[in-house]
Amino acid sequence: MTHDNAKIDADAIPATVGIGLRGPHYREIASTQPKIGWVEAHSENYFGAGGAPLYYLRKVRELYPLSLHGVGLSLGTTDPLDREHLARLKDLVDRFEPGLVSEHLSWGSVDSVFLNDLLPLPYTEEALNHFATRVIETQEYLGRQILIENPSSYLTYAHSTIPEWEFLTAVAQRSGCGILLDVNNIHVSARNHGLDEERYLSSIPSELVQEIHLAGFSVNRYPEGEIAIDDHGSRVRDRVWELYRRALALCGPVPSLVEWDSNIPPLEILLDEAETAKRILGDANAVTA
Amino acid sequence: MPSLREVQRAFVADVFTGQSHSLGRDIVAQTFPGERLLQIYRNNMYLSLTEVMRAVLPVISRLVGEGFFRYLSHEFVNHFPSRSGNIQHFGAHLPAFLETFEPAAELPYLPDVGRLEWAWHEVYNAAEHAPFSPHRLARIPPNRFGELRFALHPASRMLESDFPILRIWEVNQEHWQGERSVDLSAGGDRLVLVRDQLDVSILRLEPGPFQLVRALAGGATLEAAVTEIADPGFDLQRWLQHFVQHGIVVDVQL
Repeated sequence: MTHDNAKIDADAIPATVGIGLRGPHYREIASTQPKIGWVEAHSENYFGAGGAPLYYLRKVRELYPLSLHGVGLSLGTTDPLDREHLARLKDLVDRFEPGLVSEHLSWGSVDSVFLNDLLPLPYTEEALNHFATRVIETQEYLGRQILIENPSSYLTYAHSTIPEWEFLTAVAQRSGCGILLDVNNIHVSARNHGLDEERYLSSIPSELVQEIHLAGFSVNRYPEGEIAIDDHGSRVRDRVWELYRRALALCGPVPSLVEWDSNIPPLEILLDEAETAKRILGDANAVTA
Repeated sequence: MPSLREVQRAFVADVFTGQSHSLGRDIVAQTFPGERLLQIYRNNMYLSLTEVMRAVLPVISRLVGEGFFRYLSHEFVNHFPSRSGNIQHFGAHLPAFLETFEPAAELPYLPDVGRLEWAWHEVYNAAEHAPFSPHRLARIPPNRFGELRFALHPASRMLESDFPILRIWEVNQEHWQGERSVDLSAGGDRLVLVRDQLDVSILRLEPGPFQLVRALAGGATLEAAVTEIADPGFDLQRWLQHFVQHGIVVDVQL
């Protein structure tokens, strides 16, 4: 019993700063073992039967607590849930015992055609019932709680009736899932749709937030205006760091992740971003204490 | 009010057509028309699936050039949309698609080079297997060796082409330093790909050994496999040992 408890503690994701695990950094992380609190891997990158990706995931898992973050389950689709996808995810969860498992408030496929993207849902009662049921099904199948992340989006639907923060909160309350708050996504969506970031943050019950994501975005400019694109391809912007401080003030210290998915930089740049996050998280801790 | 399913079907239809006929009125248009906003999702889909294929088929991309590869993958996605949230298998049909892709007809070796890259990708990600253990043979009486069936490593693939695809593949690797010319009349290749630690090694074989390993992979008994080999001087024992040493043959059953 004591042993089991110790093991669970060792696997839990600490309220410190982690980085997203990406292929170009495998060897360097395994050999230099940088001082980071934990790592998060994209679940689908390890759906193969063997080889280098799984080899390095095992190595990294021996060094750090691990979180598994899914991008391809298409939770919000009106197709049946993809049982094969779930089975592979469960197999990974059983083998690697991640401290956290997460997916997105989105859909990505219909009629078995996948856009392999995180597409926005209309925020209606129908979609809320549907999505909460899907989260419940997934949690039952995996035998554990998952976290759901707020997406960034480029369009909204005329027939949406529920603000995103209320929708996300209701999903968590109905399904028992936790919330992964991506402060970059809040900023991108707020910028694109004229939402109130402060209202978004302060409307999410702080006890539901179990993880925060940080990343960079780009801006496409057109004669009529601009659209913020969530490309995870640059450093975190100042405004997003500010939102991070604000989120920590509201939620207290939570596991925080720096993600970088396109134009992946040398590991040292990613670690430097993690250092910035650490300083902000440390300040928040000092204030809380 | 459209149902969630109607919204999802309209969204996907519009992403593929590049118009907003289905979803149009249901998108909030403030600064931009709905069509422009859908265009972002359309671009994302083609771009991300193109990058997925470029990562697995870098030699094809290099041979046809970046712009042509974008066009090729755009056409491919329209014919074979992604069918899974797991993109590891996306692009498996691309070599076959290249056979019928008229704009690439001038490069007849492309489909086989694509098959080589795809085989490499599969071998790189396939399951591990313990090496062959000789004691498995020790218990079998020699007079029954002809009935043996050998199992090949799950991370191994065989490939035959009328073109020198290995040379084409080698000189188009990112770190290739030597001469880049390829003699297309140099003859074809018979290749076996197998995992070597975390990497992939490629063996080029003569017809005899290739026939042997392909027959074994097809589940033939040793006796049946040998009868397919035309070369009367074929050294069966040597080649079996060779395939065991390279980790291609990993198990045996009576």
